Amino acid sequence: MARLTHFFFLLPFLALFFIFIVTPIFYAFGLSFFNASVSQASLFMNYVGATQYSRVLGDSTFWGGYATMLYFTLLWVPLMFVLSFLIALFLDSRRGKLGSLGKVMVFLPYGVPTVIGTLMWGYMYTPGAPMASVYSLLGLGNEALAPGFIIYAMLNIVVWEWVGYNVVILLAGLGAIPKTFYDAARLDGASSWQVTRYVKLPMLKRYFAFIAMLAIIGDQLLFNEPFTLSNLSSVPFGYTPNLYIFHVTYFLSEFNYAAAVAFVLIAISFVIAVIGVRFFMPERSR
Amino acid sequence: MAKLGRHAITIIVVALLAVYFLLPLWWVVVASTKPYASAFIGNAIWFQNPTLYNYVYAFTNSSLPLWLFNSVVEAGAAGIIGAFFAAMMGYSLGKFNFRGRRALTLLVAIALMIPSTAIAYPTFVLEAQLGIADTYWAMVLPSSVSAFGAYFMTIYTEETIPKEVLDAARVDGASEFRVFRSVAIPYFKPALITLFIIIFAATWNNYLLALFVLRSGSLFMIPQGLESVLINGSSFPQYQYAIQMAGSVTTVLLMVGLFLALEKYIEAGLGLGAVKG
Repeated sequence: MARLTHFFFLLPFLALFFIFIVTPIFYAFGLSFFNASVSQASLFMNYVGATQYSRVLGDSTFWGGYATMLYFTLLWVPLMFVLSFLIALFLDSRRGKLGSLGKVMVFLPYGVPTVIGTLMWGYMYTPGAPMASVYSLLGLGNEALAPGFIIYAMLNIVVWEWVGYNVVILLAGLGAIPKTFYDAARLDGASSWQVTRYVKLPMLKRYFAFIAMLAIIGDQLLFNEPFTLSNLSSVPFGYTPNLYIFHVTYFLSEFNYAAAVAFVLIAISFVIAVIGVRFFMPERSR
Repeated sequence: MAKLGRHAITIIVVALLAVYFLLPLWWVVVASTKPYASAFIGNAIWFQNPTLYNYVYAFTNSSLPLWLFNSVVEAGAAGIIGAFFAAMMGYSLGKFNFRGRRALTLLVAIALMIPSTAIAYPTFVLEAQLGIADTYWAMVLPSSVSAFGAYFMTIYTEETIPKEVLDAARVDGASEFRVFRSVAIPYFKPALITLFIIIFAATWNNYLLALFVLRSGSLFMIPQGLESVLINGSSFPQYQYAIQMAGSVTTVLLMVGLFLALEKYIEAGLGLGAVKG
């Protein structure tokens, strides 16, 4: 009996996990081998073999969206590292004076639903809104949502939403560094730059790995911001992979093809995950 | 003199941070007190003849109160169920030795990186088969499965709960469930609260799933409600504006209240969960 106890603790999570994560993945896989028409009763009609996959491989809209997402990740991850590290360092060094004020301030946007955050920024981007003068300074005229600029408009929204969350993680990490480390460094005559470079930065390595992982997962999810912006300006329907899946399902009603696209996306994430796990998986303490 | 310089830098940096992080929120607060006709003219960052018209309109003539209620019920239920199930899972992976433990930990870590948006559509097809599409459960159940939560709780368990404390309770004759409830849960408190907030936010941000599985307007959460107004309301921009502004401000106030109430737990929760030296 005692030997089975752990099983009762695992059961509730695992049950939901298999129903709502594992089963949908197999469902998508199964659906992707058919090509049912809207009028048919079941989606498992008209077996077509792997042709949906050859269509995905040659689908330039999908891969174009994937490339946009990768470009976004390349911009976002370094920017996020630098900004959250600088803000965390600043708030940490003024901990006594500012109390939790600074932390709550930067963390607040995380609590705003992304759809609402995007709507707020979307209004601020609108010609004639308070930000308009900033855009003309940047040489954008009134067009903050011009086609070539949408990705930066999105980058700004995502930074605004997520930097605070990462700052709180890093602040916790900075707070966990034993004070004796600083004392030892000071005794050796280290400057504050050297303390930052050789004490704080290495001690935060795990936290940065954690943030990087969250950032990469986050990018795979890119949907709310482009979808909401598409109501305010012209965002192409294949702008990100998720936007494309929604379009294929909702407007083209090609359910089986949507399943194939989704499965390809899951398969790519799975490969990234298997590689990524080696970097962030905790080493067992025993 | 150097001290004065440091003081000035603090003030400047805090001001810059405040402008960037709070300006959109402040702007929407100011905009919510203006009628649509003058929304985009005049002073954008201070009140001019403020009116509560938008709020009165949104709360009496739109489904905003219902969307608020749905948000609390759906995201709240997912947060509570998800945090507890993840805690049990993490506790088991972190403190019991059994065959397959490593494999399960690996499975959780991999599942953590599967994008929830990619399984939104197949989840809808599955729920249609199970007959729970377009109900509260359609949103609550999938959102309760937090691979992130299970991963987070596994590390949290290993980092914070000393094995000796659990063993001491066992020696005293406590059952495993009693040990979990009376010994482990108090240690979990900051982590449970942090996870509740994370799952709560993730649920109303899993907008693609909501678009697929919630078709009836009576089940919408705030984000979907406000966006449906944006899509359907273009012929009455003044009502659309009223609902969106009042809805956004109400949501932000709700979250500010929640953060301020739980703020001291969040850093503690995130800190221990993310560490591993």
